[in-house]
Amino acid sequence: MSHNPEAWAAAYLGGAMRPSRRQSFEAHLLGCDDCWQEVRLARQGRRLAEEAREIAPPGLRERIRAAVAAEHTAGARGTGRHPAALRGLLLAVAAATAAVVASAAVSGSSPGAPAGTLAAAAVRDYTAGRLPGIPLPWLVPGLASLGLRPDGGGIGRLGGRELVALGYRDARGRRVAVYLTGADIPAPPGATRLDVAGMGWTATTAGVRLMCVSTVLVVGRDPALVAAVARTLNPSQPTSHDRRP
Amino acid sequence: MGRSEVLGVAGDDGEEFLEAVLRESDALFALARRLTGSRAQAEDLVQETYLHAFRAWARRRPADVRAWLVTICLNLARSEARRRAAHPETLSPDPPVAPGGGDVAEDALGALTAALVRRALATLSEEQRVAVTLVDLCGFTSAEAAGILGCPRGTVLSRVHRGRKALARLLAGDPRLAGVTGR
Repeated sequence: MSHNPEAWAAAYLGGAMRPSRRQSFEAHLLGCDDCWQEVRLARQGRRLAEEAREIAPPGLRERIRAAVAAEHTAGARGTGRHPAALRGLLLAVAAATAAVVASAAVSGSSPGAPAGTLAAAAVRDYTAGRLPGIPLPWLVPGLASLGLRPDGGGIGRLGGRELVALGYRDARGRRVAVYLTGADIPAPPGATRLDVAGMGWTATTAGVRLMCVSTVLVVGRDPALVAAVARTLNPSQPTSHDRRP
Repeated sequence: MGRSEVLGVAGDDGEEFLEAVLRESDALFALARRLTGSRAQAEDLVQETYLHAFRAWARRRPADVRAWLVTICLNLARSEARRRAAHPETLSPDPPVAPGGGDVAEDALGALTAALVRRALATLSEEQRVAVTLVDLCGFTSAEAAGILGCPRGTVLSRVHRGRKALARLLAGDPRLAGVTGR
């Protein structure tokens, strides 16, 4: 076997030598400067590489859980499964954040206000360009198929209800806010009932369109975009935007 | 409330999936961090990896979950690199990492060392960087890394060895790293 310091050192440090070969290489190392330098330098490099180790940031696992849950929800819609999956996600978020919600200061809301004021509070917040609650790193649900990217979010109380609020924005700067709650959302005065399975009601207030899908409220200035988001989130109506597992 | 609801994933598939894969998030993040330009991009890559894995979970339950996830992560990173090459955009620098609760001087030194090494790692060839990351940062054996990368074990040993030597040489003259290199 010809003398090959690099290959020998690589095999030695990589644990790829049989015990007998390893023993003879260790004896050789003591008298061979080239092999000694190969091993020494690679060991230095290994110690340095290990210094670059980074652990996953806190919150990443929860973000993954939420993303997988949202994916599952989208998959369930695509295969016509019961919309309980979406409710499961909402319940999960509500449970995981109950302690935070209890102390969270929420913009534009008055805790304890009657549930019917949610629509009005949503319009106030949307108009002011803010979202209630604490910053939310989770990206649920995905609306990329509509060209909408997550633009912020919060967990908290609005109009007397615990909810998750997610902001989205498209390339043209159009904003949509999605409010996820754990129960049906009452229609505000003047709202129109929607005669479509799974859809609740729609209303326009101060130039802002609201569309309710079961326990989800979609808010935005562009009626077509709001309707598209509502259709996408409607668990009873699989659309071309649904992803299938 | 049942466990499925707490996880936000209805059904046994989701529970089983999360149970099997979430423990690998540190290793995946370590890999993703070396494959991307910022912590935010690394987090996105890890999340995408899990979503791809979840979609595939119903069809395939891999024997080696860790290697499977790493393979998905590497493939996604390559696709993203191709996309970025076609549509270059400006990277935003990482925000400063909050210091830990330990000794301030030690934290600062550790962060400096890690930053210098990461910068040096980024200058290695992609093959060497990935091999060093899989073996030295993620803890795979050379045989496991060879399985993931689809190349002979000897190739991995060689890439890791050369990558380590390159790191040591790149950082040889830096007095701030004397404690790490043992000079």
